[in-house]
Amino acid sequence: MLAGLLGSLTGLGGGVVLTPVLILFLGVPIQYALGTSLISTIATSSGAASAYVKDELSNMRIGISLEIGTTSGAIVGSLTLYEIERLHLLNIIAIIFGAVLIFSTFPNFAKMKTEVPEGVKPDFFTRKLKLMGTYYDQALKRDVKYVGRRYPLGLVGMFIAGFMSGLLGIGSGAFKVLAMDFMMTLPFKISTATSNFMIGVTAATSSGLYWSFGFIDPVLVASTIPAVLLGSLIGTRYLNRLMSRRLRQLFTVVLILLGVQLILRGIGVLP
Amino acid sequence: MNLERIVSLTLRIGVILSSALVILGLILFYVEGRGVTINSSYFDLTRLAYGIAHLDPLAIILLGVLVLVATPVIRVLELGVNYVVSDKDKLYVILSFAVLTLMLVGILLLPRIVG
Repeated sequence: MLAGLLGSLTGLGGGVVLTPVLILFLGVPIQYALGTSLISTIATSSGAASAYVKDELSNMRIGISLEIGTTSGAIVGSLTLYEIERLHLLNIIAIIFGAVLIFSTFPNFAKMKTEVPEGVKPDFFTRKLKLMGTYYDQALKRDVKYVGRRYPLGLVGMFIAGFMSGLLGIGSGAFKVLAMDFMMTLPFKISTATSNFMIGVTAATSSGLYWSFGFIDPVLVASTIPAVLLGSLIGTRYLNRLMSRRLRQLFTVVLILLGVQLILRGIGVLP
Repeated sequence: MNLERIVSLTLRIGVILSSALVILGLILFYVEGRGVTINSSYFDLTRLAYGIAHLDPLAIILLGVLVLVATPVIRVLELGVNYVVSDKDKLYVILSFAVLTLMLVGILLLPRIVG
């Protein structure tokens, strides 16, 4: 439930918090933790997205145009995971997982100050793909216009995000938010909501392969989904009321702590 | 009913239906008290259908998972249809159906080849 709450607050989709908890605190084998997390990611994404769409925070055009990258990345990522599992190298996944968590927090430090990007100029792809919109920001109490640019760069970022999603059984929301926020200069709240919307599509793409690899333990999944869903619904309800900056700080601290623990586990320092 | 309402409703129905199935399966699992769980690789579509017909708890849970996986697929389909019918936006018709194809390749086609 905590995973779902944090997941939807940060646009991470919960999996990134759930997997370390399952591995580190509950002793679940890595492949089942990845499978459970992947499925719960779809649940939180759909649960949270059903609320976001009404709030007009998620942008469907931006979502769909970038999902080309995430879905193809997801296919490559889950096939890579299969190879790694076959070679009995799943500890590498724990290390990569931890490294990814920590790495994904760095750009956050750089951008902590700006709340909403201003004066962004549209480019060729902005016009061609109509990557723009307006939303009402509850914290600033005014309408904010936004523009997404550098689409090709965003698409590359999304392929990497999709790859990570397939490889690590996460929604890879952090990468998606970074690609939209940092590369395409979209406001954090739009990136978060849109990424939450995209996470389900990405995770669903990997799920068929996870299923046939046998990474899904029905009982574990069934015990996790309802709790994670409940958490994500609570998270969604309060997202728009929190300041972006506080959101980022919360996001950062949790990621670093879990990342360090997983790396220690992967290299065998922690049992 | 506009698109956003339909998408929102799809997601909600998908999530509620799959949670219900998953919880039902879990309850049956503990009521039967088998205590042994089998991972998903055992359940291809034939075994899944057989399991559901015989109220196998694990198969019911996996049916819930299947509903959950189908939800985003249907959502993308709805978006695609919307771009055909009401927006008449050719570029986005192509983009949505490309995404849909990639999803179906990942979910249905590749597991048959690799798994």
